Amino acid sequence: MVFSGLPFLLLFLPLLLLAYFVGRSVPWRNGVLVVFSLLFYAWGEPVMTALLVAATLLNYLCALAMDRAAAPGAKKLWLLLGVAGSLAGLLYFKYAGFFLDTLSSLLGRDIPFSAPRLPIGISFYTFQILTYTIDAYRGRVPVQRRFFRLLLYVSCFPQLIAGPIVAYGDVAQALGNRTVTTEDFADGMGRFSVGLSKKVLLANACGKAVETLLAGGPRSVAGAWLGAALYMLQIYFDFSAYSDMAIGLGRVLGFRYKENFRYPYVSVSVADFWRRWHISLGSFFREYVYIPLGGNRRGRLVTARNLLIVWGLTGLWHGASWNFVVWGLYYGLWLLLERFCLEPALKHVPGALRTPGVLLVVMVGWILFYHESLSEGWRHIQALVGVGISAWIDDGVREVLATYTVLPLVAAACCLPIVPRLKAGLERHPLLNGGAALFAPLLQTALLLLSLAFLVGQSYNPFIYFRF
Amino acid sequence: MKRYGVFIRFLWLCLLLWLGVMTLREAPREARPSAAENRMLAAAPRLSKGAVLTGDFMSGAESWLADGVVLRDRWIEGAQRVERALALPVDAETEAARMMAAIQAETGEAEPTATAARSPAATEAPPSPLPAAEATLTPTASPQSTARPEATPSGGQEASFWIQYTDGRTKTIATYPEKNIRRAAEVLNEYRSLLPADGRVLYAVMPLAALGNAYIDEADRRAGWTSEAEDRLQALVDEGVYILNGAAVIEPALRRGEYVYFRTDHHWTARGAWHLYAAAMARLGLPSLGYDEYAYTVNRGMGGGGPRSDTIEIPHPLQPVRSYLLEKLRQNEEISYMFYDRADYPAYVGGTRTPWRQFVSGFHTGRTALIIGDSYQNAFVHYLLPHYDQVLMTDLRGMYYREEQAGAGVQKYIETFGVDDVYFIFCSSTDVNSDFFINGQVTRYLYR
Repeated sequence: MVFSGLPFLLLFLPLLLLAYFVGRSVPWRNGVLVVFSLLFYAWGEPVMTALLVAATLLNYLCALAMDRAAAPGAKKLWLLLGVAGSLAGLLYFKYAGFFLDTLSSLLGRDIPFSAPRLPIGISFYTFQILTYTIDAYRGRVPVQRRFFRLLLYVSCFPQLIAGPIVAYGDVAQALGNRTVTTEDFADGMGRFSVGLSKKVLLANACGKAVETLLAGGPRSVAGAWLGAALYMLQIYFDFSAYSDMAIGLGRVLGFRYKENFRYPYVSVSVADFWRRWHISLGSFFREYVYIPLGGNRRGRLVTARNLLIVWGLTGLWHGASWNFVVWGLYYGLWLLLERFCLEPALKHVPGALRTPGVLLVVMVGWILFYHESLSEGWRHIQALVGVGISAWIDDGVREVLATYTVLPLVAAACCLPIVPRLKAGLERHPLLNGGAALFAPLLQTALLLLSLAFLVGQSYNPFIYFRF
Repeated sequence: MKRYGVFIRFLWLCLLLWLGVMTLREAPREARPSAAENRMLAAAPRLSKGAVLTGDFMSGAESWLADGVVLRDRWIEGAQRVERALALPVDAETEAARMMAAIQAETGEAEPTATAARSPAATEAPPSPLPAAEATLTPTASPQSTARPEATPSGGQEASFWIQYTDGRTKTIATYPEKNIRRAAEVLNEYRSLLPADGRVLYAVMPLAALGNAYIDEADRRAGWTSEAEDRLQALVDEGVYILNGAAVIEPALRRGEYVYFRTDHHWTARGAWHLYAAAMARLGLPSLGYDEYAYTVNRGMGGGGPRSDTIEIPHPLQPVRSYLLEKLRQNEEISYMFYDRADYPAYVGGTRTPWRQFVSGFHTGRTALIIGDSYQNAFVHYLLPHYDQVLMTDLRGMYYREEQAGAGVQKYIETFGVDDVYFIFCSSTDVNSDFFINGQVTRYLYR
């Protein structure tokens, strides 16, 4: 089930909220939420729901055993068992085919293996489980003694299948004790409607335009640029929309999730971009991979090694293929270059001048990300400068500009932090602020209705991040 | 202010729940064709353990909800209005060309094969009231009469369909490669070879409503339109195969501002269908009945109640017509001939019904016709009836045709029902370039 699907909007969400708010006690609400969350997951993955429950149970038991174990060695053993068990599922379902393909290429002989279907959201919920087990081992969070609370943390539907990756410590308290104010409800629903409209009105339209421009590879220089630019917008609105909806729904249910995107396309450096893009993934790798490896405190060489490991893994997390690895390493190299070479020089350059350069770097990254093979990506990058392509403009570009005339402008404007600045400005004027409070729900209502209208007739509706 | 915000969001949930519950209650359980979207709308999924475990039930439920959501047409119309408002204005021909491409892309494949069955019973009927010789009305256009400009947009091996403007410009709507025309000729010749010696095959492609309405709306800018493919096709087909230029047939009626296309739908009106019928009869050297020789039920409000809403004229037959659904070469179910209470295109013979139709005309002429076409055939079939004892009709497009229901190939139907003449009646989304016609179902289902 997806947030932008009619079964979710017309049945699941209203029925869940009805059942959720019928009872006031936390156990009732937890029970409702677990049942609905498992139903939500089972709707898309009926069989693989067992895997999710099994992974949760394993880590629940490991954490209990860790807690009881007196010797540090035994604690570590339980930790390793929990981590290895969780990662085994991810490795088997997501990476076994990729590794065996690579191995068979290296050995020059065929290794028969039928790759299993990737369970939805496995990359997200595996990392969530790991935050619990590792933090419990580190003593940063108390061990959860109630299995259903841990199951609720892992399976909680708003963040289950496409993030954000919520660290256990961020919601541990809310699992046992939370309240929902009317403000939480109103703001959360508002945030959800904004996310829904970003997905349905912007991301899907950008996706259609990208398909027109890039299906079969770019056909002109203008097509290569416009296609790449629109893909940048599509992936941002697609993923950040999901995060908006998840954060909004979380708030309605009494959970406070951290922000996952902070206007990444206004970044002034590549490092800044990754502090604004998919923040929860960056935090996970920093907290559980980069710092344990030594971070940046052991000299330049170790820092470089650590960065490349983290970014290689970040690429691999996004997909089991070499172009994702290259995409990750591409960012790793840029970050190294920035940290050790460019930073001193760029310090004095105004941010407004640095942003276009960052956007160019990011756009090339998304080109690698978009295409299914490195050679296709490379051809696209060449097409940007007119290599291997003779036409300056093609019919696809004309069609996209005629069909989606306003879309790129609206989408680009929505990438800028206009709303928070407007909000901050309004807050200084009580009268205007009152007007905004009156106007915002109406605007959100219009967005919701418009999104519904588009959803009804829209068959094109995939969430890009589901494949991770 | 806080209460106001909460109240509004609470209303959202009420609205969403109402829509959900109403959809569950009201959405049709059966799959049904959508003429407007040119596809089958999803049926309610069947609940079974296997369907749940494979996820088929869930994906089926999503499709069913999306296709059956309450006020679906209004939602879609609203979305389309917004989309149009945010886009640059596109001229009608470009829009029509896009629509043709989209519909062609949608024309799907059919299901696997099944076995044949026995033939239906014969019917007794009075002779046809048609005059033996001349047509009662002169066709509105000579089928091959379009004047040609000195220079045509297509040269050499290709044929085109293009618009000529009063300022001398031309705009190509579709281009037909020589190989496609040759292949179309082979298809038509193959059908002709299955008919008796005096059998006839008639092929006509009508411009889509979007093109026709653009012609009417901007008649002062248009000098005319030309379709070349028909002449090229006629030169390649065998004796007994007649190619009618649909664009040429309908153009004079458009010039006169006749109501031959609906404004709110991509189909033609009964009057448009009659023009083709009259031209077809003239082309075959047969008499024809006039449009006004039939009584019509007139329903208003087609396409909603807006300023562009349509009026639909639904003809009454001269003799009572029996209308059957055929399956496996047998009459499976009798259904109404016309749906006089409807104010939409499926008022004509109830819309496209799978897999075969049989109309027993109530006349005795000793001949049987078969129409193979898209939804344009539904308004057309009525006018053929006085010429035949029975008219069979089928739409072989993937979203309608079910091979296992048909139970036999087209050839077997021709043989079993003694078909004398075959009419191919299409709109321009199923033209000579359509893979469906030259390589797909039209040939694939001939023998199986």
